[in-house]
Amino acid sequence: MTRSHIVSSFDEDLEELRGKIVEMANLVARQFKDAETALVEKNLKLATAVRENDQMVDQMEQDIEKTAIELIAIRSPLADDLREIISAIKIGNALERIGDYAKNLSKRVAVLNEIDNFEANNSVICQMIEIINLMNKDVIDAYMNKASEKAISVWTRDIVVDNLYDTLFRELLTYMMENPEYITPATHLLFVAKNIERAGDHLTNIAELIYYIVEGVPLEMVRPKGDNSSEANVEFSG
Amino acid sequence: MVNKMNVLNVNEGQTTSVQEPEPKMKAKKVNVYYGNNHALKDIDLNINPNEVTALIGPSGCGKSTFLRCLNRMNDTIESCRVEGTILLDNQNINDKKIDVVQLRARIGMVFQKPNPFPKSIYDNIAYGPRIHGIANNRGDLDEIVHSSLKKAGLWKEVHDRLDASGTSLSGGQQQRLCIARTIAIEPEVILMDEPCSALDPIATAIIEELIEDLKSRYAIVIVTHSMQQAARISQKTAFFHLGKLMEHGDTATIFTNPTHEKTKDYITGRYG
Amino acid sequence: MTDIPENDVPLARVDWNSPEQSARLKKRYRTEKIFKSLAVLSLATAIAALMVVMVSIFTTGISGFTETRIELDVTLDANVVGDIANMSRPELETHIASINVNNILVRSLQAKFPDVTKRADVFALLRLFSVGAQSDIRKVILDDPTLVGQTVPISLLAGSDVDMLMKGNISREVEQADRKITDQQLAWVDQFNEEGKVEQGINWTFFTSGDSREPELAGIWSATVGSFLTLLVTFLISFPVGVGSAIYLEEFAPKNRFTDLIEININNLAAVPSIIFGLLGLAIFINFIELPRSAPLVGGLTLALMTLPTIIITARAAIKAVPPSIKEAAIGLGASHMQTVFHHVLPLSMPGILTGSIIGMAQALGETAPLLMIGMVAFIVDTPGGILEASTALPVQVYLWADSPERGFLEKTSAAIMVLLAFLIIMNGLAIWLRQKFEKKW
Repeated sequence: MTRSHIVSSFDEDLEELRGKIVEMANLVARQFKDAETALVEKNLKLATAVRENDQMVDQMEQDIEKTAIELIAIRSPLADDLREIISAIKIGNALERIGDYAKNLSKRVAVLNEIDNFEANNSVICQMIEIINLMNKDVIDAYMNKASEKAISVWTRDIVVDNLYDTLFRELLTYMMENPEYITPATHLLFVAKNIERAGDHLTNIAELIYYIVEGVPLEMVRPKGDNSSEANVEFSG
Repeated sequence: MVNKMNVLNVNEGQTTSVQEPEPKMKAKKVNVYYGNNHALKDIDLNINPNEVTALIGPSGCGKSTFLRCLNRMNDTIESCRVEGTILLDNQNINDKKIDVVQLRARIGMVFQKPNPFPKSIYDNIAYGPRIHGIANNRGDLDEIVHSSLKKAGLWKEVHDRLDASGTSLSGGQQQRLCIARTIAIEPEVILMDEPCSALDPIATAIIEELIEDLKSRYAIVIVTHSMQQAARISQKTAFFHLGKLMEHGDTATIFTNPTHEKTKDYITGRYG
Repeated sequence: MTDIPENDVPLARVDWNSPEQSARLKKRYRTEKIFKSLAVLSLATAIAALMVVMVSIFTTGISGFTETRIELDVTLDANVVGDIANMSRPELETHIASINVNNILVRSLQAKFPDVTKRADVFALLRLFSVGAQSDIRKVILDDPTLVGQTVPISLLAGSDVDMLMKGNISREVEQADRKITDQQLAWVDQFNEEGKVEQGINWTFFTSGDSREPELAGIWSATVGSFLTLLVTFLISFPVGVGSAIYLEEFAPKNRFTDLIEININNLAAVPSIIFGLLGLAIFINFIELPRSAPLVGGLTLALMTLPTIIITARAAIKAVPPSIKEAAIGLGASHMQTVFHHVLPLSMPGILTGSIIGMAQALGETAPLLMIGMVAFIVDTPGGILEASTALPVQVYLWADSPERGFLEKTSAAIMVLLAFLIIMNGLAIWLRQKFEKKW
């Protein structure tokens, strides 16, 4: 545990900044959860609510940025304080992007709703959302406890999301080849999955930032990649 | 833990590729005692040419004592005893054969409080060249005075009143006069003991700009209590604590990612 | 973190408007008032005492700067003066010094008062005038030899008793036996006075002549020169030695027990009574080295011994007051210790050193006791021409005159004190001026 600052109000300000990050992360996690529910239950009202709530996410990002800039101006932070405050801006940025993906996801709920002829397999999507929300929780835990090892564990777990995405990609590609009518809903679903996969990437970025805050050097291991969809080429079988 | 080790190895591989220049001064196992008080303990520190080295640390940590070792100002304190080797261009300045008067001409010093002599601006700068016999005639002396004032960025402000008393200038101008006085005898190293602590932010900024300029000609060692100042002007930073050199390295590294816990606590303002 | 939370310390509640508080406040103001009034009182007492002294000296002494002259028609009888028509100036001077001026004066007085015939009365009449009246007559003859054979009005210096009478220091109401001047003499003076022949003028003799047995002829010039020569010797010895010692002790001497002992002894020497220095001077300079008695050289040496501690102490204080930053600046530029001291420390401390030295000199100027011990108390009329000739000094002159029984010396004493004070004020003023002029700001 690091010692407290001689100027105790500096500590209070830092605590406030951390609180805002945690709050924002929780909000983003709830957004994904709600989007998932809306998707599964075909609840358009909830989907709209998610879209509207994204403004709150944007608001919080700006708030974090403002607090961080004020801290830099007033406290002239150095060393780990400086790394933490700069990283806070970046974490806020990443969380805002993740929030955007939740919003985008809920937008597609309406489109998918109108298509009746395609009963998609939502379980993979749900599984992906569960994982990224767990990653979200763990990364914030790592952030609060300055635990670089936990951050690394989150960072390595992204491979699972990537693999799931890869699986779903191949599955949907197969559907589309079977029946061209499925192309529209499958593409939308593909985008939904892609959004979740991107959210996972942003979470790994946050994990990298936490590692930097704690250790003072960037995380420079080669991250295991599971998403091979960019190279995927499904052969037409006959 | 395994992961962390991996990461560190990757980093080390990158930093060692930068080539360090041959140091201008090298302190090896320097110990200083004031009577029975062991003020500096086994200090090893290199000072590179054309670089600003900042010495930081809490009051009484020995950074000023170390600075004063570098031009043997501590000789003037009776109870002070210095042990160890300090090399200036591979010559030990603590050697009995070294003439301390010449040494101080080679290693100039600027003090905390601006301390111009209560003489004219001209005489303040001409004093050093006069006692060392640097100028052969009045013309040479004029030339030295003018160029020193220009180098210290004071020429525009005082060129029409060189006969005015040095003490009639403002605090920042006085400090620049002291710097001009120091560079008039063409030293190789300039030591500065908290040169801006008595100045307002604008005067401080002007001095910092001046130090940035001087860096290209001299090796500069500066003691400062302002971490921001050390971060702004220095390339190397050394952190002293309780008479020990805790950490020494690139300023950017010290201020973003100090290795030692004490350094981190000091620069981020935590309980030490 | 400390165990006790600092914020939980209860604040002492003070009721600033309670009667106890206002009473306490009143008491504080009262004690302040009492202290201030006591200080003002003591200051006023001191000023009053000073004023009494000054006024008494001034009222007594101011008349010492004037003299009384009586105009008399003097017949310069050619028979008495002799034939001087063809004499050269030096011959004239020696001749005039030898003529019987007393005879001329007596005849002129008899001409004015024909009824005075008795020998005793003539002497009484003659005593109205000072011995100096004869030189007045000689001077007139010397200035214009053609006046010989004529009767000319000459302003003659009156005797001390007449002088005192005219200045009101001798009362007419007193019985004749109890006063220095007889009724007969009073009548003569009154007659001169009625004819408008008595006048008061500035006593130049006081500033130009030496000591004398006659109050009206006594002056302070030789004492002033003696004091000047003595102080010159004192300054030339004590200033370089004192400043040199101060520089060595303050800048070069190692700080150890021996130098501490020296420092304590210097401070003690400053408090030694001056007469001890007089005894020292007598024993060493006169009895051992056998320098001449009463000489300014010996006086100066003795006073130098006395002044040295003062100069060393003030010079050390002045050197110590030079900011260390200036010394560091010089050393940092590569000046040697010696250069630092002589280029920076000494010039900056010079105003303080000079001030201290002048005050030490002023002290020496007013010193009497040591000079008494080395024989500068002798009756010396001539102005000294060098530091080895016998001489006296201003404060000693004051002491001598104060000791004289003649009424006329009373005002001379006060006048001499005024001159001495004037010199002291000038010297102290010089010290202040020097400090103001050369004091540097840093």
